[in-house]
Amino acid sequence: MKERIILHIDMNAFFASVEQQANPALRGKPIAVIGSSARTVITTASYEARQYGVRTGMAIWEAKRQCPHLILVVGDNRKYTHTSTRIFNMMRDYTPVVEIFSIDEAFLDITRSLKLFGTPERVVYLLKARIRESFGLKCSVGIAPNKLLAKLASDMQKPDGLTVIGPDDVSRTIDPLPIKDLCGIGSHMEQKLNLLGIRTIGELGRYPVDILKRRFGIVGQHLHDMGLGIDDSPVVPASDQDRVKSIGHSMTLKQDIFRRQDILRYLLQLSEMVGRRARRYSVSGRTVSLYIRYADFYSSWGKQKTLTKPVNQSDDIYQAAIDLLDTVALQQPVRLLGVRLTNLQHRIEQLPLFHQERKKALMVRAMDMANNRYGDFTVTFGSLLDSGEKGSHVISPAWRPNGIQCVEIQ
Amino acid sequence: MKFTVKKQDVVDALSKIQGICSKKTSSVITTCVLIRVEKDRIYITANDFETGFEGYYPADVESEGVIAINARKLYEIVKDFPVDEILVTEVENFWIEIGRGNIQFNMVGMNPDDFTNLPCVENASFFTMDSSLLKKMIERTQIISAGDDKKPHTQGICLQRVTVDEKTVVRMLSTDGNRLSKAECVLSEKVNMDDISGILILKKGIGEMTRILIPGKPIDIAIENNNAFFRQENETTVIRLLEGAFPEYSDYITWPDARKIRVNTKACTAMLKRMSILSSDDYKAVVFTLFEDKMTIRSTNPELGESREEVQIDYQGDSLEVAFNPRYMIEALGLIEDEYTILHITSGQTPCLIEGETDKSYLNVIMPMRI
Repeated sequence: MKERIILHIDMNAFFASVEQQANPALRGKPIAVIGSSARTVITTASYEARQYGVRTGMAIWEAKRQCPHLILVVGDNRKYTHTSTRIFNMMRDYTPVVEIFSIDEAFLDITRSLKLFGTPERVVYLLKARIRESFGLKCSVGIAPNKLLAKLASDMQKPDGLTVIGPDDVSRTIDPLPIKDLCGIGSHMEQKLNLLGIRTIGELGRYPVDILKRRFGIVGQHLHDMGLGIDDSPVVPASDQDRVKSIGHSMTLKQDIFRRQDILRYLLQLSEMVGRRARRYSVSGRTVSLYIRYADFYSSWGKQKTLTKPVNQSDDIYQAAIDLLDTVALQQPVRLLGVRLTNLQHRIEQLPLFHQERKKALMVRAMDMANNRYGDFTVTFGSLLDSGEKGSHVISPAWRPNGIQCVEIQ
Repeated sequence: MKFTVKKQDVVDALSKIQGICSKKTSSVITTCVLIRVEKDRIYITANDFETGFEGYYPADVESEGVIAINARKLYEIVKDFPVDEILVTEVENFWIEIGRGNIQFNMVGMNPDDFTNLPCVENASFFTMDSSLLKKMIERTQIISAGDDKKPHTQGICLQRVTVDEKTVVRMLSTDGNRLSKAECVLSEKVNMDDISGILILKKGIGEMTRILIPGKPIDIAIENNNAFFRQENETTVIRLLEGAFPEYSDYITWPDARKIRVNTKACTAMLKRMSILSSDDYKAVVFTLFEDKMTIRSTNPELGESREEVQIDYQGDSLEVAFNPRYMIEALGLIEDEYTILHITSGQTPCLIEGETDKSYLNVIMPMRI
């Protein structure tokens, strides 16, 4: 196979940088982007703040202790999704093979673009310049023969870095790195490998593959390859990606709730969000799942129910969610609720026989049309009228700039 | 309690109730069969609160009594018992002894007082019909399986008994929200009772009842106190009625403007089966297009390919396109006994009626798919 040239582009302190660009008064200062709810944590910290030890996921009081003059900015998710979408479109000017990895990360396969643009370094130079000029944002880029190495490379120099791992200097570059730097090795796997005496990527590559296979099954071979810097997975552009397998929404509540009535109101809201997204893309699903996380943050409960036919009307999803809720005796107040539709069918064609159901379908369609024009929840269920903020407030890792995974973020 | 009974009688009765007693319920007593011994018979009863059965059989009774015992185990014991007559004795504390001498089982039963008795059938007014006619109607409506559990009209089969032109007509209807099946028959003797305007009987219960039905014998039917009773000589099935009403369906089965398409029943079924080879969950629809004197049928699945067939029909009029789920069509055609079937097609947004050319006792209504 011809040597591939893969880029991994990682926007530096994305949310914080966007805020600093939007408001010049924040530039060069330690800032942190936080969520809008009362129990938020640090979403992103600017590089100035990171020098004080402010990290993503920290509680606000903890961050303030590290850096007393830290400026807190409530995140504006629309700003980020908008900017992100435009940056991804810019990347597509250099190759059609762009795989969006999250809101601020992407892989590009530029193997076939070099005839037009010359060297990989030039592509990176052009792209970085455009992103900087248009948005004032910096990014770190890794150039390597595969995705695994490209991601490693982009992490090596931050901010505004460019690291090249050529085919000949793979082992020299990656062997001394700790295994947790590999994308796909989390703290659990790291611990298990440490028990085998594996601490660096080089040690992982040299470890007998048979033992890894015996210990981890199929994953063993994959771990071995990772240790050697081998990764054949292609860069998959959005258009080629597998069909979406589920549609779900979850929500951390403003305060913990226990009353059934309150829970039902959130369930209806989540069902409407799931239903609307399903209907917009003409998808329906047969399985509805409900997920509850309790007030202590650590314990949770989830269950699913498969219906006799696929549904996508919010009411049907809601009814199934209630049935699921009725099977559980809540142990604690509820902190987070999630509703998910799976077992998807991508075309719904069967018309209902009875007028009553056809009328209901027409009503739902009319509601959707009004909401498409005037915004989500403009026309909605009576019981949701005085329930305050509605819709998504958090950008999920599965967010994509278009298609069914594009969730309108408030 | 002590009695001797013919093995075959008990085996038959126990095999009929296995469906009722094996349902997953929270209550253990529903997995038991109740055996009551009185005078010269034994009564065998099963009840899962939705469907119940009671039958009586002659026995050589030494002493009377009542026991409740696991139906599945009792059936397995009795089924392969190597003698024709079976002796059952209650020892004490719900223990019973089956057989004596070389082969002997001792089983612990449950307190018969925990068993919920079947609704009383006395004073019910029965009407009688041929069981094969009933069975045929059930087959024709049972084809549409139970739908959404929130809607009783998709959970049950609707039974009606009405008087039309001085004759008694029994009608059964079933739907899943996308299609409807209607079967009826005319009774040989007029029933002089008030009409039954429409009751819903659980589809699952009807399924159990067909297993219990003895072909060839007349069946007595009564609706009383929210239960439907089906009685054949010594055996009675009771099914609890569902609350709710079957939708007013007459609007969906009268289409005066419909184009009548006459097709060969078997050939059309075969064609639809060929069409459904390429269908998948996401691409189910088979599209019928009517032209002057011919009809084309095609199915397209972008993931696999497409198929197309053409048949000659006697049709004059505008061309028209309608899509259907082929499975619904195949199931409907499979229940038509006439050589030719008439499809009544009005438009792509209105239901299609399917019935035999001469036999009007069965009608299937299928809502099209969106193209």
